[in-house]
Amino acid sequence: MNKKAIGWLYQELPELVNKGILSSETAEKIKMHYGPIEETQGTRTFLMVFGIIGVLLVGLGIILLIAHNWDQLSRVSRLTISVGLLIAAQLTSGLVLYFKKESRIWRESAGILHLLTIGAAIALVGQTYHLTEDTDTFLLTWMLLSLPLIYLLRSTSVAAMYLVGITFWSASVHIYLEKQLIWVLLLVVLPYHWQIIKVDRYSNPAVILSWVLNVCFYFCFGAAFSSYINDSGLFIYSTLFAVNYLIGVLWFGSARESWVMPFKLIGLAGVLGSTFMFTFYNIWSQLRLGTNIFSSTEIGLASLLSLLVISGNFLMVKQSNRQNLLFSLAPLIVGVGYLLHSFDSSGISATILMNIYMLFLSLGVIRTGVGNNSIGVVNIGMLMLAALISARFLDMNFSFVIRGLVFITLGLAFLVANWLMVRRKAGEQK
Amino acid sequence: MKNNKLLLSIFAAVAIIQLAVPLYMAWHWENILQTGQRFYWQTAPVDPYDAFKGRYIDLQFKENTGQFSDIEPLVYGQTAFALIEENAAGKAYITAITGKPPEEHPYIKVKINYIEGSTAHIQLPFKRYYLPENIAAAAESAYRQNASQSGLAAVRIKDGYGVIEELYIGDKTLTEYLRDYIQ
Repeated sequence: MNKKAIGWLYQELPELVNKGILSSETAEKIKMHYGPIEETQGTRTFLMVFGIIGVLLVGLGIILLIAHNWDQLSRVSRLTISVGLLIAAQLTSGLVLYFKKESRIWRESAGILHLLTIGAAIALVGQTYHLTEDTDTFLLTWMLLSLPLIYLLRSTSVAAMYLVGITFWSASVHIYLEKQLIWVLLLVVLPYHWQIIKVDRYSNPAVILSWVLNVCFYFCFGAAFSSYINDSGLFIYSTLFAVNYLIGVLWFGSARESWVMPFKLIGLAGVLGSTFMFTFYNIWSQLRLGTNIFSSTEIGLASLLSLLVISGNFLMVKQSNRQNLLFSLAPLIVGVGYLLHSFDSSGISATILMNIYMLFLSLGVIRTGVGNNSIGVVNIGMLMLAALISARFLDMNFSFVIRGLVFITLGLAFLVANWLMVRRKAGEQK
Repeated sequence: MKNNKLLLSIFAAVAIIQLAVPLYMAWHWENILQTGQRFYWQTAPVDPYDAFKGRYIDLQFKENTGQFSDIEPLVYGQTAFALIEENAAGKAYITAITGKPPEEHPYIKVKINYIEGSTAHIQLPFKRYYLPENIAAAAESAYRQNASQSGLAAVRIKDGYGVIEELYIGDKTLTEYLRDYIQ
């Protein structure tokens, strides 16, 4: 119920009682039913955001002050400062846990300050002794020491910063085996994510963490595998995005606003983006397929992801949700593209297939938009179509004559479809 | 209430670990600085555009190769051990590179950059010198001008670890040199 409306109702009550429309007992009952007008959700979010930003700025400011490297400070005073700051942050978190355990604003703010101070303390020691510790060791130590705060303080902002931290870490390590540690580092956040999505998967903290988790995942995946994925890359990424999309549709797809469904949005954007890339002839013509060309990592990843796509699609069809199949089956089309390419290595047939698929995708989006009466979705479909058309119009790999003929044929097809629809509409109105 | 106690005790344990890390780091390097053996390393010229990253000098050293003495070959990226001695002029030099730490000889843990015949090109673990923000620009140009002729880094070495104690230009410390240089 709208708080404003309740406020208005409460204002009206005395007058209604005076005029004898309501008895004073009924008025009391109404008040009991709606309860007192609390601080609104909006104000609370506002306070939370300001609290977090304030603490973040103070923490970053402290780090900058330390980075100035004051030469007046002796080594002992530097150590005292770094340890003192850390103890202060720890005390704050401790007191919050003891006295304000139920206040999210306090937990989030104390968590951020605590996390930043841990980094500052380690960095100050490094600066004092001119340590050449590589970025990766520094980040890993920092993030591992901060990790328990996610669970102890139940802090989403600490979890988000931890995810960003380990993502940077994954980009700065170079050894393959060491890079794979990222999966363990990601895995340890999942129980927290699970906890908050269990309460309400569309609440602000759950949505924000889902966004950060999903975006960071792609950076981590790229860091861990990019140098081991070569010619199967197109397929693997398209499958990965499809899995992402399926997760979104199956478990996070029932909200009204689209921004609260990151898995679905990122998956969809990935499927559309990768499909658009595959409509380019150059991508296919440079693809080399042959025996023994795929590494075991590629084969393993491709099989695992395909299995996930198959089971995801199966689940979706079981829920009698078929309109999303057009997007979630993208890996199947890309797979057929690979198959065609193994017979026709020029890349022409695979390119044509992907162009047809992209055309269907765009039309599918437009149709959904028209069906749901959503101008936004229609526009996205039009944009996709426009991108496809301009990419092909400017494509130097096909002759002008072929492009001209295809464009004219397609244009005529659109006009005929339009004419048929207008006729059908006119028929319905009669 | 019991739950709360448990939570607070876990928190206390975590807090102790968080404190222990910077304290241990400080103790470890302070100990080397106090009790390690001092060696003077001659600095080498640096790429003028790359010398300065943020607020530290990226140090390069003339001594960055050594003969490797093991039968087992060393590979890129591997951790190895450089045996160190002083020459007649009192400057540090590398006598050999081995795959295992020596028992008595002063040594430093290094990373193998690449191998050329029986010579290993290595990366010394101390290569940054952090500076106060206000003298950074002056220090940068002073270091650039003098690194190849008279730059020296005093490094304390113990148990394979090294920590820079002071940076010298000629016979002055960098700070003294800059004081005269700025005046």
